[in-house]
Amino acid sequence: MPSLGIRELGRQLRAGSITATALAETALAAAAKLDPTLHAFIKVTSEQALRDARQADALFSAGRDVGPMQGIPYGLKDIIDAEGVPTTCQSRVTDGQPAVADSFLAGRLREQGAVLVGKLTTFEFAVGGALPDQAFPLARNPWNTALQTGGSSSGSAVAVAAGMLPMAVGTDTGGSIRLPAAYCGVVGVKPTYGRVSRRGVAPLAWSLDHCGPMAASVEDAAIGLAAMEGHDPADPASADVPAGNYLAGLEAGVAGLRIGLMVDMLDQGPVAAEVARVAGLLASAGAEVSDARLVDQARLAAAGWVIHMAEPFAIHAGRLRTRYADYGVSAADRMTLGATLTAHDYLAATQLRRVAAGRVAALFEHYDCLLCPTVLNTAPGFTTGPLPMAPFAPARTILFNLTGHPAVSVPTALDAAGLPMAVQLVGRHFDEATMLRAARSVEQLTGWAATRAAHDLPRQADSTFNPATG
Amino acid sequence: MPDAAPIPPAIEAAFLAAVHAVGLEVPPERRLRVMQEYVMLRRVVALVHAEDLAGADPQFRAGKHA
Repeated sequence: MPSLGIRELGRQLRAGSITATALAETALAAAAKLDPTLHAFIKVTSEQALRDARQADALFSAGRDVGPMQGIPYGLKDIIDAEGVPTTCQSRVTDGQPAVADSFLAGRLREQGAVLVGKLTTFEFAVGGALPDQAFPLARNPWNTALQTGGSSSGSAVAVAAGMLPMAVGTDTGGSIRLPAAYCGVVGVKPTYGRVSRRGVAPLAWSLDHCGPMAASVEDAAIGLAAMEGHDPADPASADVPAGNYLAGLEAGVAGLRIGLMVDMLDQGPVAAEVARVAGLLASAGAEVSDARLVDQARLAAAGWVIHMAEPFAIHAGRLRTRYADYGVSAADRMTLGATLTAHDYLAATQLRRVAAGRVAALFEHYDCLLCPTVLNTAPGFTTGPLPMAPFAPARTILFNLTGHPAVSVPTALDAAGLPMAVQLVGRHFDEATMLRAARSVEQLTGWAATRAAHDLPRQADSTFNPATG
Repeated sequence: MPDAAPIPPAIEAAFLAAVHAVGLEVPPERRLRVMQEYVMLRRVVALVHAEDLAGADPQFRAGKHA
């Protein structure tokens, strides 16, 4: 399914050569076949999917076209409400009752005829890591099922990577769209802060939370982003800005674009070398690529981490006091750490946030796009030990949650172990169009689509490790 | 859980005081791992409180150097 792409699927739907019902049935069959191994889904919404697909087909039959997502199957990370379906947040703490209303973005997708196939797994409340002791099984990486997926939008990445869905929605507070996208070899977009409403999405850290699409290609992600954005007064952070036109210039190439290679975010190793290779490819395609310096990036990332730890505790304090044992270790530990932070810590971090925003904005006086790693390693194995924290972790993502700039992770190649590597492109506030244009060029220049097409996923691993039990 | 260095008593005391202050009770069997992460978090916080922080923000630079 993903090899065709949303635009081609839409063309065939409109030509009548396929139906939305058949597409939904294909997605449901793929989930039934693959999910016992991959655990991308917390709940497959079979009845709702077939009902929505029949409605999309009825619209096509009546000659009504409500947008590019009409009849296209998709999934929601299970911290995002869809009316009539429980939002578990991968937790034993939630009540299991069906959501009484759609989240803003699920409502937008429903209005445009998209077909919800299921709710996708995550880390509990979208925080922490791939530790056991969570309410539902942890997702497995389709490139090697002994490895983890990254997170917390783990099921969204896996469902797309394994070809179960052409598009899925994730959320990103410190990298939770971009990291699993990088580890699983899909495209993940964290839009500008305020571009996509968070109404009906369980908050993790309200000043860092973003929602965005994950897809097999930049074009599919662009279509998904356009379908879910829009101003929403019910989200205080929602920006009243014009909708982006992401497709119009997508194929324009990078000739003349000024791209800053963020050398302070590189390190040694194959992924850093891959970022440098991509910089060379962009230059050979006509981009003006030069080194961009960001002083104190580690300290700025630390500020992001303090905020990322403090705000979740503020949200969960009441339940933690009364139901601590019902939280899994990963979520409880991270929220408990937030409890140890002081107002002084938080306010110092918010002061540094102003510095970060100013420094990144200054870079955009000289560049149209920034280029850096998404994360400096490939998919790791499962662990039960302490999890790394920015700035001592390999991820290079939280800085742009802190500043609100749009960022996209684009897969580029496989490493020597056959695991995906990725680069991250960053754009000006509300200029996702230029960022996606550069991302599309990276996709073409690296030949990622051919790399991906050469591999049937999932690749089964020999490991007998069971992440559900440790 | 992997072998790890023991948590220094002063760190453990600071951690427990901080969580008790906000009404949390971490069961003893769940303390080791979270305190290992607490040690990491203190390194993160130390970076945030680096000495020249105020000078990095233009709003505060004038006052600092007046």
